Amino acid sequence: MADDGHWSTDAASCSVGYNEGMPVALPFVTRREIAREYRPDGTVSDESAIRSLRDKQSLSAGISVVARKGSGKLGGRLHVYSALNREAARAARRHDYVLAVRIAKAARALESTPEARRVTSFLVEAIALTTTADLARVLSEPELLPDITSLQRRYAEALRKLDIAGPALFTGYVAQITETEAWLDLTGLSARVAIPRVVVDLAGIGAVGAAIAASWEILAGGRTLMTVEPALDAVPALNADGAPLVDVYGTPWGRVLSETDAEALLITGAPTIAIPAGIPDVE
Amino acid sequence: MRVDELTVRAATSADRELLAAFSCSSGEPWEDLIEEQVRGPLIGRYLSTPPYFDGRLLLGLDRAGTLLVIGAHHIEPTLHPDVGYTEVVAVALEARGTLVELPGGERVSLGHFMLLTIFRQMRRLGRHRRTFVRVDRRNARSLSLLHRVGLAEQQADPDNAELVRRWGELP
Repeated sequence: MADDGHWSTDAASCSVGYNEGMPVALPFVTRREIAREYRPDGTVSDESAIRSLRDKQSLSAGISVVARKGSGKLGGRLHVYSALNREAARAARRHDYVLAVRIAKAARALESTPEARRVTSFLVEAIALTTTADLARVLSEPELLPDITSLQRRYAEALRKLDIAGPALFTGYVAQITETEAWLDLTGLSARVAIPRVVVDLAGIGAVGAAIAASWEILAGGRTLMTVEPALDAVPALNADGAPLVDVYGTPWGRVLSETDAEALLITGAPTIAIPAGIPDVE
Repeated sequence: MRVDELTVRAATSADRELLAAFSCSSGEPWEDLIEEQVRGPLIGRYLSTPPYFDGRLLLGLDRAGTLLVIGAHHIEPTLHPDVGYTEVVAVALEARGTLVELPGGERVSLGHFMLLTIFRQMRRLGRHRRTFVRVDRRNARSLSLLHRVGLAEQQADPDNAELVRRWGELP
């Protein structure tokens, strides 16, 4: 995908490991992601798109982050926005400004939460922060987990209250990279998806194990817009109510078993359980 | 009670009130935990589960519609085939000791009955032949039940020292 497409051209390293965690889409995004939701054809600059959304009150104020480097030097400057602004940008693209304004208000409320403030305070201490991939890497820090989980819950609640479905979104990992292709392992899809390698390289996630969020949006006229971006790693999954998917003992679903259970999973061929007649066959 | 006096069905959102009033604890901490979960977040987790976890929440009711036993299981999707994990089996306090008579004359407790129902559903859904539960290591009542059902292989739980895992193999 070219520079004017839907993927970042920022050079960035990605140190996210394949740990069978639960990748989730970023709770904060940069103006680039929002501008591309608004103008996926890339016919206007990011600055122009953001200005237009602001003029239409379809964008929250966001939070400015100036990352500190060692010795007080600047490590990067980034303005982050609640990911809800992407939905506002989509609504504005469809000229549904009433909805866009409502979403922007919800985004503003989310950016004002204590969790959002704590997370952005943490970003200030990041060593280098200039790209979305940097943002994803820093937001995946374990100590942010409670706040990120809470923000995900608030995000899901806001979507539900606003009655927004959004595009089909899948998260997962880059599973394999060849000279020309990247294979994506996306939770909920039965087979790996191959995309041109340049797509993940340009998004700063061109490494096996990188956590990704991939979405498909059907545009007017039947075109399909696919977006592949960095995601957060190792965050407990949330259900549709925005509640963390953990078992009764607090362990995230999908992470109860690990490679240490390989032996227990060996099928012996000698069943230990017998199911007598009369036990209901529940569909 | 005879097995045909029991109905087992999937929970729906209309069952929230029913579960909110469910009582299964006699005061043991591991029972309090489960009761709290059943009355609170359990149904929300299972009714709006992402499809790759395929969460199943089953309710066993008598002919009067009284909730006697519940069972909850989902899959651990990182392995193939998906491994079935029975997260909760809870018997209503007032129904403890009730035996279910099967057609062959065998009589099993309500907890035993629900575990077998879950295992039959796991088979129907093509789960991994190996299956497991997590249980508080002090919970002698459940450990005894698991032994009777066929989940006798015990391992320490690597994530929680208070728990053990019990493994078994489906037919």
